[in-house]
Amino acid sequence: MSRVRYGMLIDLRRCTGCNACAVACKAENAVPLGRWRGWVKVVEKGVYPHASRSFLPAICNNCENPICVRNCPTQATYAREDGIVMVDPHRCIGCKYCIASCPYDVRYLSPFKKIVQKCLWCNHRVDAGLLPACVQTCPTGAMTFGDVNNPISEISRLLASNPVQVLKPEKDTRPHVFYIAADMVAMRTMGTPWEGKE
Amino acid sequence: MPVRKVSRRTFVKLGSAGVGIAALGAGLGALAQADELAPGGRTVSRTTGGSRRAIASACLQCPARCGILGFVEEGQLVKIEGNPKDFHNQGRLCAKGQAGVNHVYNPDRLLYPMRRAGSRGANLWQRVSWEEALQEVAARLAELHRSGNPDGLLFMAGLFEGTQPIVQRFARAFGTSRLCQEMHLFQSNKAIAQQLTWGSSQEINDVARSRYILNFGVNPYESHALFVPFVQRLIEGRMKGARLVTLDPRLSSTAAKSDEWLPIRPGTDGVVALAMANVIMQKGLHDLEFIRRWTNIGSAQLAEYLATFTPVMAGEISDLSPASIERIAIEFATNKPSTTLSAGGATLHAHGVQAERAVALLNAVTGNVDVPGGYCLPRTYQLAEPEPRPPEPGQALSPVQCSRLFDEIQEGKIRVENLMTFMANPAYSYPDPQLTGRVLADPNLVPFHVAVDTYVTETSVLADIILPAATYLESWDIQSTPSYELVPQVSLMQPVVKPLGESIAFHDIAIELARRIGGGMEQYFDFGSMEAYVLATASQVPGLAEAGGLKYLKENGHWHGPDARPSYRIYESEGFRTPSGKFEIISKAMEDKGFSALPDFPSLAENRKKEEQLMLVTFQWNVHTYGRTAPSMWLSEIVHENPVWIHPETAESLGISKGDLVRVSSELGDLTAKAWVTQGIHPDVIAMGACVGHWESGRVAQGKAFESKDPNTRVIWWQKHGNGTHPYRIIPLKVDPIGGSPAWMGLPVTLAKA
Repeated sequence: MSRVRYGMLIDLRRCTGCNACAVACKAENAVPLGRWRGWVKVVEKGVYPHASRSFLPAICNNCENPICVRNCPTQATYAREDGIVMVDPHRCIGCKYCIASCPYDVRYLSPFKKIVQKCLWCNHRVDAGLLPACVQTCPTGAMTFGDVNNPISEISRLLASNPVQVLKPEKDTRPHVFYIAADMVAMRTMGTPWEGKE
Repeated sequence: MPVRKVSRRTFVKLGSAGVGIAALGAGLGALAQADELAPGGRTVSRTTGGSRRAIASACLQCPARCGILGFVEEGQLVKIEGNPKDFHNQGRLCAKGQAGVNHVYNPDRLLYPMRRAGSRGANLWQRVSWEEALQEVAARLAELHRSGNPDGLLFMAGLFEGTQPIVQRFARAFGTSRLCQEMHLFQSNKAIAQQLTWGSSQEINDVARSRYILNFGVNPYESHALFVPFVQRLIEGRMKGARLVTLDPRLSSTAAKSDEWLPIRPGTDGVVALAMANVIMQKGLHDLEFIRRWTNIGSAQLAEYLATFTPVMAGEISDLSPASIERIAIEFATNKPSTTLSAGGATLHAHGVQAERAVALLNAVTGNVDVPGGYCLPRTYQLAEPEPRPPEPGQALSPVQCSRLFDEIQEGKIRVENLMTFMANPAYSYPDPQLTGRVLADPNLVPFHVAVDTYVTETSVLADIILPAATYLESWDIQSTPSYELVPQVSLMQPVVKPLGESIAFHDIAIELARRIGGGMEQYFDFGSMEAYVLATASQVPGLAEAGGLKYLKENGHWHGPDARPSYRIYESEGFRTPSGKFEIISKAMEDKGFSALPDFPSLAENRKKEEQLMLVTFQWNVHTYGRTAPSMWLSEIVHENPVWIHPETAESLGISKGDLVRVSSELGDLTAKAWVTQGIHPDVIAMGACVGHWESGRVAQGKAFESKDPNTRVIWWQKHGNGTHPYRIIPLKVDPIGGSPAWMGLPVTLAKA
């Protein structure tokens, strides 16, 4: 029997860019204004009238090979057995090495606590048998979360039956957030035209 | 592999959550497998890990009334999630619904009755007791009531509060015919067109089962009257292969993700629909049987009438190619079941009723009416209010009068003695809001104004007394909102937390005022409490009593008949609720009022822009509902500005670059805003979001950082970006003469670098 390894799959054919995931995260994790554990990237491409817009909800990839864990000088950042990359608030000294290490720009320094915080896939919910807040609320069911080591889980079934992508595979981080129908432009840029981070 | 333990209780929850999903076929991701994580229904404290108390209720951040669970920890509302037992929204919730928490705890929320302590609009207040405030309001209203002039009370209900029957009951019990629903501004053109055509005020597009969805300017990926329930089914339909074609001058998120985006000139949807109907008739792709049996026009007569609306003519007016019009007409008629979508984009024009009737016609000629995957009638319960019920006023204010209200007050045509506003914000939400502001500031025109509100808004800042209203999360209501499962449902709104500070729910204010005003008014509020009112209403719903009545609703938030299955073609047994019992392509009521009996497209002459002009359209962002949500920090953080969308060629010809300040001028005035240059807009059109740019409504809405108990208000980082510009201030009041909604869209404007 293999251990539980969590992963997330975001089907962008279902994503409407509505930001419910981003706001659910704010509510669930008391994320300070100006900081984000998850947000929706928006990119436009094409020339009128053949223009289009793509969305890409961005969160921590909870990588199998996390650079942040390697680079944390105090071992505050560590990976759980099930793959969730944690930050121990008591060990974190706010040095921001992990922020600099992360290719996905998903970590932030809390303006109130002066320690680093990030998406933990709502570990407190997962440990209580609940889906992460973003997955729970996604109006159109674009997000699926579960055990990628369990071959009969919904996420394994979807991973097995669809072409999927991960962000920046060349970094060899082995991300565990997978996308269906991600747009290349959205995968490359971190910012958004009118929203997003400070 | 460790198998997650699932208690029987959790399993039962999973099972019931699956009902709505199963009804849609393959559903919303991972559910109902013993080793999967639970899709909702409970949450845990982040600090203690303990389960939180959950109270089932209904959302009111928009009219959709999604089922919610409010999670409470130490008396505080800490989280809102969708209620998995509610098949309407299937346990899911949008950003606005999630941000309901902000609505309760915004530090600038009104928590005490206030009396004006400066001139109107000065925002100077003196805190008073409820006793003092109620005494004054009741004394003024009682005097009006006794003097036999109940119409001296003008009551304005906010966008979604107007749907609460208690509001209408209060106005009727007082005896005033002057009840104005703010929602008319955005919905009455569509609602009246629909009423005239098939006797229902909205359609339910059965999009989960459609094969072809023709979208006239609706933006359900961001905003819809039944937002989450609708977009869920739309995505289901699309995942099963339905084609979505969107006509919109702007690349909305819906247009952007459609199979095809056809940029259309604002205000021309009607002529395109008529030309499509013409093509369908000419090619013999119409449903002869439906037209013959269920409409009030012969197919030969219809074909003859439509013949003048050629694709070439419609193409010239709309900027679509005649070939595209012909092609989508054929696709619509041959990929059945199909349905049209239409709302503000097509109808918020001076001829919006006719546009909506033209779009509805397409569904009739193709026989897509009330069929699986088609254009269906809403299924709701007629909820019975407790007896005795106040009499209906003889001559209620029409939507046209509501839109023209402040003009008519200024001109002396409507004489107001007392104005009562409940969450209504006409000094923000009306066209030419400066006019509203001037009228509200003038004590000769509005001698007394009591506002029942949650913030000092652009409107309540002009009041004499403000009564602090409880939010929807602290109030009772019962509703039967049409569901996309096509069976009627009942949903309960109940207090998730106690009203904050000294705020009181409107229904309790109404009960107390009625008692104090007296003169017979009190008899209509004999039911005593809103809970008793809801109980009396719930007990009248067939089948609900057997399920446990109000007790069931309080525990579950939502109820529908357990054996209810979608049924179609209900008109075959009931007919349409029109004078003829048919789908009225010919409207005698329209003819009697001097309008074209058949869906028509009026000359564009009066609306036509001059050569150098552009057309301004407004739109709703996905995280806001009109001006209502800007006080929510989690929403305003995402959208707090509304730059002007400009096509690159248009921008270049005017020397405008992205980020420049530009001036937009209309016949009414001008505004300055930032430029956003984008390929996603028709070159002759500019667009602005309409939900920000507040000058009152609290500091979060105004994008100002401040000290409060919530450390977040110190870090309102978008202060340096400003909070946008309200576009309505340059939109003059022009009203559809039938439907009453203003012509919001397609305003001729000029654009220049500021």
